[in-house]
Amino acid sequence: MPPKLRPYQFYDTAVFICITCVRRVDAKIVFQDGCVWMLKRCPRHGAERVLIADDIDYYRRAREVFVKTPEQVNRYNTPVHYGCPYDCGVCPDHEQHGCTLLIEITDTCNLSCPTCYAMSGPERQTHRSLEQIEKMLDLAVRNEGEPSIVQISGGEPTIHPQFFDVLDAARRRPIRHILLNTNGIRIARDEGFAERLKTYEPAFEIYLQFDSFRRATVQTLRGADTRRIHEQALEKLNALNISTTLVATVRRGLNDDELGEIIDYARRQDCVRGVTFQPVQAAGRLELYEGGFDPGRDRLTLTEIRRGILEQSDLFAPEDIIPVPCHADSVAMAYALKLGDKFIPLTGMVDPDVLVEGGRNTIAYEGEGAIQAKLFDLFSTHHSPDSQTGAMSDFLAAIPDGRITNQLSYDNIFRVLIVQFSDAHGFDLRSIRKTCVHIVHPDGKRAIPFDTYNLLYRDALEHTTLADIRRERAPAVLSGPLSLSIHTVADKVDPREIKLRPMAEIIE
Amino acid sequence: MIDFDRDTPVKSCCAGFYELPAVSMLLGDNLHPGGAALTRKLAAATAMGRNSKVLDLACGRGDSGRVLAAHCGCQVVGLDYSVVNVARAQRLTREADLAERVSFLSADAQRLPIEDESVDVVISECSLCTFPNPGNALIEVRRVLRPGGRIGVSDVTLNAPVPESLQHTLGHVLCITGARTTRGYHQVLEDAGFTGIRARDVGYVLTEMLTRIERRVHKLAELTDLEQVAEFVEPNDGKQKLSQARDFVASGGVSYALFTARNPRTGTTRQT
Repeated sequence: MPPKLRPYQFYDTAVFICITCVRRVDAKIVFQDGCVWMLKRCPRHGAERVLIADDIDYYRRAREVFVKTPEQVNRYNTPVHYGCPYDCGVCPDHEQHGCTLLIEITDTCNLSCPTCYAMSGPERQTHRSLEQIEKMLDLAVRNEGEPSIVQISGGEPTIHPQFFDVLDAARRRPIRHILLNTNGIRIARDEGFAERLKTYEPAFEIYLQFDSFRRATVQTLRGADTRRIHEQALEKLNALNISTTLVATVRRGLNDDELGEIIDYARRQDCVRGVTFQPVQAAGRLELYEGGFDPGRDRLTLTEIRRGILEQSDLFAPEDIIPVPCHADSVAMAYALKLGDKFIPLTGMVDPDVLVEGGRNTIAYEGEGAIQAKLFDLFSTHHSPDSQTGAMSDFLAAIPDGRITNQLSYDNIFRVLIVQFSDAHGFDLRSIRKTCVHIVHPDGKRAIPFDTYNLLYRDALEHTTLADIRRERAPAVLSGPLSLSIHTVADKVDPREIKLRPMAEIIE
Repeated sequence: MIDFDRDTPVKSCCAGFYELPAVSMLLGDNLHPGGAALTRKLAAATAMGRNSKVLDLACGRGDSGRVLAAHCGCQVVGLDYSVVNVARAQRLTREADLAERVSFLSADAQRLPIEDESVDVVISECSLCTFPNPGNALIEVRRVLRPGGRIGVSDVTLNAPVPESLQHTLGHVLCITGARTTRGYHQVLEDAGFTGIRARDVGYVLTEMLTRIERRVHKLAELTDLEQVAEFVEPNDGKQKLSQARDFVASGGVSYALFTARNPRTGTTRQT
């Protein structure tokens, strides 16, 4: 009789959460049909099968090769008490500092996108006071020392009545880059608005919503045809050369076939330094999915967007789009040089070791001196030009004397990021612990990982869903962080020393 | 004498050698350098996924097709000149319960019985150098590839003349007869109209293969007098040849490389 084989390859066990009750549940991670699946079962709400990645090799590389010692925040704002992810603030058990801190300065928005994770809209009329925002900025600085990126977000931040005071307040603090997350309406329509933004450069960048070239798609994602606005906003940003990243929300079957076109469009805009793709999940109009949203079929994952870029664009080869080591599960990157008409991908030439061993835990690699130097080093010292035939010869042809000149600047760098925020379906505790995008809570006392914020901490959730869970989990004795038990163990180990012989004896 | 060219007239080198039982004893199951691991590398380098339709040129007994179907979830058509190979590939695939995903055809790579623009990825492992006219085969590949589709080639690169003493031995283990320099493969892909050509040296797979053979020769030397492995296990001579082969690999004279390239979307040449 032939042996009874599993139809899948078992890879790991994991802790996930139930999409219905948000409680921790056991899960298995398995490989089948070229994909990574998570099989989970909630004792109360039954089983679920979720697509995690459609690329087993990439998934494993991200988990097993791109492993970097995490950085910690300067301050833990909450104790470990109920267990992950019910203590966020961040607690001492979180495994990554915040390389991007989000400050949501308002709940109000001049759009009401069906896909909004923040549930913002014109019907919500709460702007945070400048005083409160200053407190939130102070927390960002307390947590990170010199925050690498602070993103001013919302709602639509530009409609805050004291918007420029907020930017000034951010500027006064030791923040390395300020990003403004906007739908571009004020940039497009308000005379002099873009000009005023220009005064915040350098180290200031616009994160401009830009999802599709198709009317119906934009309508579905944004609830309005915003294409003309984006075009007008880009005209102004181009004219002033204000560093801009286009941010595309990508949904399966809606705009996942426009990735190549968006990148191609982006690289032809003078002001655009890159594109960030963010897959969205079961948000908005679910009737779009046949028979309802099926997480085993309809979830759009990071690896699918990566594959989509590789299929739809001629600009990148697979080795050019790699995991970002500080949160390899959720962020992928590709860097390239724009030199006139030439477009030269760089990331494929970087040994993963350089990224894992060197530099800070950040997604802003272009700002990292050490990495930058290593990247450029490759061109002068690379020993095997044959192995990089295409890119190398292109590069050398573009630089007449074969050396990097001082003319290269941030304007020449083009970056594609894929950022997958976790939804309840794909929540993997192992990965969540490394979340490096933190949302500063309006209380000004906590910074909460993006993924858990939207599941458990945003608005009323903390007092409803989370409060119930915390009641159930309240420990008899105050528990301590897992991270600290390492010291406890070390203390108990017999510190047996290596005894050295006196030098004289060794010389004999 | 052993007839290496029995049922693969287009192949003038190693194919027959690998079919000898003693050889699979020496090499284990990895019949082409790098084995399944290198096939998976080729899959990653060509962005193969569960929706990909893949053509495997000169698929032999179809190992790679089965690896790809299981690992990437893709549909694979394996093509081999040899009817014997195809029959065996089909049997092995049925046994592995992968017949739904992997099928086989016996045909000439220069005249593919496949529709225009119907394939996402074409792979050719250790076989391009064996085609009498690789240029023609590549033009056929471009015909069946969809615009923007990728080809992945792994093959022996020969960057220095093979030392006299090694010609026989090395020729049986690797298809060196039609092997080109790294630049030569690049050229043949470029001439066929492919763009975004990238090369990656994976010479380590040859070192690994030689180490594996060496280890087994060492063990087998005392146990066997099989004539097929005679040239390896002749007292002293076999070991000497292996170490010469090793030196040649180490010097970079012979190596192994992965090439990827794209079928351009339009008539114009674009960058990768």
